[in-house]
This record gives sequence, structure tokens and C-alpha cells, in this order.
Amino acid sequence: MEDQFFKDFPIVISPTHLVQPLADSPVAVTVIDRELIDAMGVRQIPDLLRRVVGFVVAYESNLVPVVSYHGLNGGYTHRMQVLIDGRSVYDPVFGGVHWATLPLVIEDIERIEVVRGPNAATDGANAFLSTISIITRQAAEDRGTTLQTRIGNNGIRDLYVRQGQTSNRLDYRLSAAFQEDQGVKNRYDHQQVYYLAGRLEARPSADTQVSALMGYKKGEFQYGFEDPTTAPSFGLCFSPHTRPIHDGYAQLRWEHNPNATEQTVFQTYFSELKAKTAYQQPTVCGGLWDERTYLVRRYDADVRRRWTPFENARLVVGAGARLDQVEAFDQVDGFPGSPWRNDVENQHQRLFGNLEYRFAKGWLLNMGGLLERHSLMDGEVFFSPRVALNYHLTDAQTLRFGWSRAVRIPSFLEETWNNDLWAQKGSLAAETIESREIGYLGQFPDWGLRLDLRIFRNRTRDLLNIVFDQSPLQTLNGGYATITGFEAQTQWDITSTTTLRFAYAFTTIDSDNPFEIHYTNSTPRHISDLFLTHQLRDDLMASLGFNYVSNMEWLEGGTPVSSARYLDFHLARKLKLPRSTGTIAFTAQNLLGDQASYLDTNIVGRQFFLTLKFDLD
Amino acid sequence: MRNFNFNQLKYAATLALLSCTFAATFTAFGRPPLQISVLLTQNTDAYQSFVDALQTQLRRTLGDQAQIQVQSGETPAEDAATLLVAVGWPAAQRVLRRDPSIPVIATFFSQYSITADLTRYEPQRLAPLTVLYLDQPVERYLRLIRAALPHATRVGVLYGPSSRKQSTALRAAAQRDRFTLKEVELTAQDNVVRVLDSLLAMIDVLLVLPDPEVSSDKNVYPLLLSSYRRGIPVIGFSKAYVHAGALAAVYSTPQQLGQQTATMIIHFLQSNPRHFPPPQPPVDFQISVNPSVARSLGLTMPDEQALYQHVRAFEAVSR
Repeated sequence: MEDQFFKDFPIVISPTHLVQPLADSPVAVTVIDRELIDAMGVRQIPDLLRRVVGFVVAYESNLVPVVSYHGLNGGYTHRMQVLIDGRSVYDPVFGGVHWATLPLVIEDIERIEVVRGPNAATDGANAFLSTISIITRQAAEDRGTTLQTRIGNNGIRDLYVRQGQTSNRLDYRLSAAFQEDQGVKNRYDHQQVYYLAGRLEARPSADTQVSALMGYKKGEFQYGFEDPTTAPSFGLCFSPHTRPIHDGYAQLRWEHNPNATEQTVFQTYFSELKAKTAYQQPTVCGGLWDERTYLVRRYDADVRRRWTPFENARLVVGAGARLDQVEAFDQVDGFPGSPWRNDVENQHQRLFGNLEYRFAKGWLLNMGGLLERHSLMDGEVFFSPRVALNYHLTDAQTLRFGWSRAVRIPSFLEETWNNDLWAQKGSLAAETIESREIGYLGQFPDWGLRLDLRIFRNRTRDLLNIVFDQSPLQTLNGGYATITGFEAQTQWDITSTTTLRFAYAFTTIDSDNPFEIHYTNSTPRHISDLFLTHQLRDDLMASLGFNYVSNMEWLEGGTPVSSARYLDFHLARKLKLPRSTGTIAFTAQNLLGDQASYLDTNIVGRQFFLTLKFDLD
Repeated sequence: MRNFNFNQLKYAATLALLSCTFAATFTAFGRPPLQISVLLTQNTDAYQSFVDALQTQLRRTLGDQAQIQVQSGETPAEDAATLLVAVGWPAAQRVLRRDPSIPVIATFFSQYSITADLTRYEPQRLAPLTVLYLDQPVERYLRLIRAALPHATRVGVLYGPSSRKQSTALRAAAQRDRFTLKEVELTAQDNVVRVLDSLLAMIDVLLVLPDPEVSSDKNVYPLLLSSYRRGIPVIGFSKAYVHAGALAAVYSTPQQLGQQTATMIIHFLQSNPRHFPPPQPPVDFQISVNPSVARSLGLTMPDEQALYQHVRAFEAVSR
């Protein structure tokens, strides 16, 4: 029993789990933590991102939710990197993220850190306009059994089950989910998703942790337009059909923390995405069907080390390698260009480092960069540097001056696809961005106020343009876009039970609009978001969210859409039951009714659902 | 004047004084050397540091007059021993059972742990017995909280089967120091994550007292992780707790305990008739802080030395 006084305990809070204080960050970061996730009560991951300043969330369909920051995109956001527990889920084929099929559900998320601005100095190519880093809950945080059901209008029917256990040196968690709904109102858009995930965390010694993570999602997505002859679709008919998608991964992570300032992490993962596209040749939609299947496999290994090389400094260096392999093929012959098959791979290596140095009282210098090579780009080497200077005006106020560069490399589709629909020439150059920003962070504890302000100018060059208004489709380099804007995000704890979050972004794009692509219209000029939470009683919580997005134009097959207003409401009550606890919650989304989303003809309607959750020991 | 209240100084002074007295006494009367037997439960680093500090301190004071014999495991103590030091509860149990006629100092266990029940042995004993417990006085934890987190008023505490016994003392101390105490109990059947979930919403800081159930291997990890996720700093009772992710801890090192045991032995030998000081908590202590945790919780805190001085000063004032 004297043991506990002198024995070692497993290191819980290691440098990677540690949140870098925002005041020391070289970039603007918005954090969505578990508390905020619970307060929103939403069921689809993209909806969480409405609360991030400058973000636009839309639904091309259930299959293609769109998350955009600073525009320049259509259904796939080519210029945004998304990581789940450090694992890149950016699809190298289409160049973007399949939000609907991410092998993840909201219930398993602990926090989301959104880097507003280029982050290639840390995350490499395509961390271009922003990076979203999703951190899932550790097994030890979910001991016991949880059952959750949800039912609502628009065919909403969800089920979630979780079981976790912790023991001396080993924790595990298994979670499974089923989700179903009808999606966009006037589309053929029913989705049915199955999800299974497991994780195992072992602590062989106090300073070492080994984690194994696995997950799999399978979805059946209806896709298409009720009347495909009227839909905007570059000479093709998206008649109603169903697309199956499989998305899975396995990940292994080893972490060694000999002391508070030193850490070594090795991580490796494998992921596989199997998806399908389909459309019909026109002849007013009596034409032949083409089904295209593609399979993406990713193998990645990464090692990084963090330590204090000299006083007041922290250094992180790392190296990694990745292999992306794609098999894509047509399943129906008889088209021009068919049978088509495209097997292609990209070998990628990277080296990176970042130094955080407090060189004088109140001053902090962050300096780093990432060097990478891609076989898809004929072995060209890219360097993405970043320098940021933070000056702490006081303990609670910080000024930040940041400069960085990043690249976006073409997707496999842009570089290599040649079939009935695409005629790519290859040898595309990387798109580049140079970003400058001035940020201010302030905390005023006496008023319960936190401020995050910034102005920025991002100049992109050699844009990779997918030229949609010609057939066959092509990607061509050319043109520029300069994104300038202002962002403000505030949190005000009005009382101990009431909090108001307010975000406003003003963004403009100056561009020569190459190939008549309307980059200048691709971001809303004004985006504001208001989120109010109030604790009515110890066991009763309510929230109200209002999101305004001014008019804009979605590129690459999207259309101009008028301004949209989303009003959401959530009420949750905790239940105390014998031997268990629970929550009953009511959520209303889009209370103001029909809004055009992504296409002017796409209507997203009101949604109401009831969630019932039981936690058993 | 206040400086004399610092226990460290007081003990140093006492030791110096005693050293002189002893040197004089032994030279004058040529008494046979003292036999001090130290019985260790284990031979780990902590025990070794304890013994080293004890021996060094005794030699410094008694010179060659005392013969110190260190034994570990099941070996019985020398019958001729003047005094036994039992280190760890298993060693203490053995000694108390077997050697009712030799004076005993028992140490290196918690006063509140369920099995450490001295009253079972006391009535059968012929020779005196005293104890140096491992537990810090509860006031010390609260004073560390005040010094480290001056704005924290709501202190959460998670009691287990043995730390529950400190609730009366803790409540009194909290009231005296104007803290609001939120208490929750954890049994072996409970899910620590669920129990903490409601507690963390109501508090500014979580205090973890020594308790084998609360800090069991299966509970420490989720406990520290959940608190950290909610931004609630944890105050613990050992250096390892801080290393693992607690914000700070107050504890006594094996060296400090060894020195205090030496002081108790000298007190015994010096007294006439020979008697022990009463059972006591550790006098000297140390404070550890995890600066990375502080930084990422957005806390600006005094350093370990300053915190130590703060807590010391509090103790001096209240004495």
C-alpha cells in the first residue's frame, strides 16, 4: 500500500496530447471540443464545422457533403487536408475528402482542431487553404456500455453501440453504428451507412503507449436526379442509381515519453477506399450506362521526435513515406474510350522540422518547413516553409505575424485520367500559395471574453483548373487567385451558465478567372455564425445556432446559390436511472426551412430528431 | 522569529544539539553500542534511499556508537536490538507480531489504508511504538491549491474506501481555508469515468488523495485523461502523478522520511525515561509541478521553490 506513493503511473498527458496554447501557435486555430460537439447535437460530421469562422458547409448530396474554406472549389475541396488521428483521409483520386464515408462517427470524436491557413510546413502538400485535424476519443475515456438510438423526420434512423473497458495496462473500445436518412429534399438521396471501429491501447511501461486502431464504413448511397434531363451535368445524365462505398483503415502507433519535454512517435497505417461513379450517356437519358469503379490503397509510415535542444526551445523533426495506389476501371464497355483501365501510383517521401524558440521575454519564434517528393510529379521536390512571430503583449494578449508557403499537387484524375469523360494531358505543375497574416488573440477573464482576430492575404499561382464547360473535361494550369479577408471569432461567457460564440468572416477573391471559371465568386463575401448555449438546470441544456452565408457560386458542376440562413436548436436532458445514466435530446436543424445548397435546385429542408442515449457501467 | 517555526531549521538545530549531548554521554560512560535494526519490506530504490538517509543522519549524530543493521525479507530481527525500524506495512506487521518487547518505529505506509490497523497490535505490546505515516496532512494539499491556483475555490475530491477516512479532516480544513468542497465516492464497482463526469462540471480543481482504489492502475489513466480534457487541473500525492499528467503534487521523498525517522530515533534515545514522539505525518515535503500541463491549461504559476515557500509560510502562520 506504500506502492502508490513511490510507483510510476502511465504517462497520460504526453506532448502530443497536449494542446499547444493558442497564444503560442504559429497559425490561426479553431477548436471544437467534446463539450461543443455535445452542445450542437448534430449527427453528421460536416455540420460541426459550421461553427468554425469562415467555413461553409453544403450538401451536393448525401454522398457528397461539401466543406469549404476560402472557396475555389466545387464538390471536392482540393485545397483542404483532413487528418483523423494523424491519418490523412484526403483522397488522391478526386483530390478531396469523402465526408460521408469517413470511417468515423461523431460519437467517437474527442476534438477537432481546424488550422485556418496553409499548414504544409507540417502536413505537406494539399494542406493548402486549411487543415482539419480530428482527434478521436481514447478507449479509456469510454469505459462501459453505451446504447444510442435516434429517430426523426426525413427518414432519420440511427443506432450507435459502444463497449469499452480499461484494465491495468490495456484498454479497448468497440463501436458500431447504423445511420439512415433521405438527404437532400428533391434528390434521389437515401443513404444507409454501417460503421464498425475498434481500438486497443496498451501501456507496456509507464512511459510507453502502443495503440492499434481499426475502422470500417460501408455505405449504400442513392445518387442522381429525379429528372436527370433538366439537371446541370456537362452533357451527361445522372439518372437515379445506387453507389456502394467501402472505406476502411488499420493504424498502429507507438509513443515513447521518457520525460515531459521529450517524445518519440512512430506511426504506420493502411487505408483502402473503394468507390463507384455511374452515369448515363444522354440521348435524353436513354443512353448506355457507364459504371466506373476505383480502389485507392494508402500505406504510410511516419516517425517524429520532439525534444528541447537548448533552453527556451522546442524542436520537432520527422520523416515519413507514403505509397498511394489506385486501380480504376470501367465496368461497361461500348463507350468511346472504353474499356478503360487506369492503374497508377504515387510514391511520396517527406522530411520536416519545426523550431519553437522563446528568444526574448514575450517573444516566440516558430520556424519550420517540410521537404517532399512525389513520383507522380516526376520526382520534383517541393519545400513548404513557415515563419511566425508571436508577441505576447501581456499574459492574456498576443499578436501574431505569420508567413508561409504551400503547394497543392494534382490529383490522379487531374494528372492521368483519359477516357470518354476526361482527356488529361499530364505534366501538370503544382499550384502554389503564399500566405501572410496578422493575428490577435485576447483573453479578458473579468468579462469572460475571448477574442481571435486576423487579417490575411493568400496569393495562389498556377491554379490547377478543372475546365468543366468543355467535353472531354480537362485540367489545365493557369491564372491566379488572391484571397484577402478578415476573421473574428469570439467567445463570451455571459454568466456561468450562458455562453455566446460569435464568428464573422469577410472574404474577397481577386482572380483573372482563367478558363472562365468564376473563382471571384467562389467564396461568400460574408459568413457569420452565432451559437448560444445555456444551462437551464444541472441536468438540462439548450443551444441555439444561427449561420448566415451570403450568395456565392460553387465551381466544377455546382451553380451560383443565393444566401442561406440556417437556424438550429438543441435541447438535452440528462437522466439518472438505476445503475445507469442517460440523455434524452431533441434537435431541430434548419428551422427557417428550405435552403438551396450547392445547386440552386438542391433543397435542404427542416430536420427534427429525437436522441435517446443510455450509459451502462 | 518566524524562521524558527520552519520545521527544517528546528530539526537541524535539535539534531545539532543532540549530537553534542550524545557524543558527551557515550564518551563519559562507555555504554555498549546501540543496536538499531532496520527491516525493509522490499529492496526497491525508494527503500534504499530511505535507508541511506537514515544511516547518514544517524552516523552524523551518533558516530560509531550505533550499530545499524539492515535486513530485508523474512529474516528475524536481532534479539539484542535496542530499537527496530520497520519499513513498509508487511515488515511492520511481522515486527509487531514477533517482537513485543523491542521499541518499534513503523513507517512507509498510509494511515488510512484499510489493512494498516495498528490498534490490533498495540494492546499486546510491552515496548513503545510510534509511526511515521506517508500521508501528508490534508491542509497541505489545500495550501498547495491556494498557492498554485489562487482563483480556484471549488475543490473536487474523489474518495475511495481508504481516503474516505480523511473526509472529516478535509472538510474542516476546507472550511477553514474557505474552499467549497465537492465530494464524490468511488467504489470498486464504479466506473471512474462516469463518476468523474458529473464532478468535473462543478469544480475548479480535482484533489486526488492517496487511495489504492482511486489510483489503481485501471483508474489513474482515465482519471487524468478525463480531467485534462475538461481543462480541470489535478493535484496529486506523488512525483509520478505529476509526471503522468497531474498539474502538481505535494509529497515527501524517501530521503526526507529517512531523516525524520532518524530524528525520531534520536529523540527516543535522548529521552528519559525513553519514549517515542507520538505517531506523526511527514514534516518536510517537496512540491512538483508539470510545466507542460500548466502551459496547455493556460495557467501561469509560481515555480516549485516559490510554491514550497508559500506552503511552508502558510504552515508557519497557522502553527
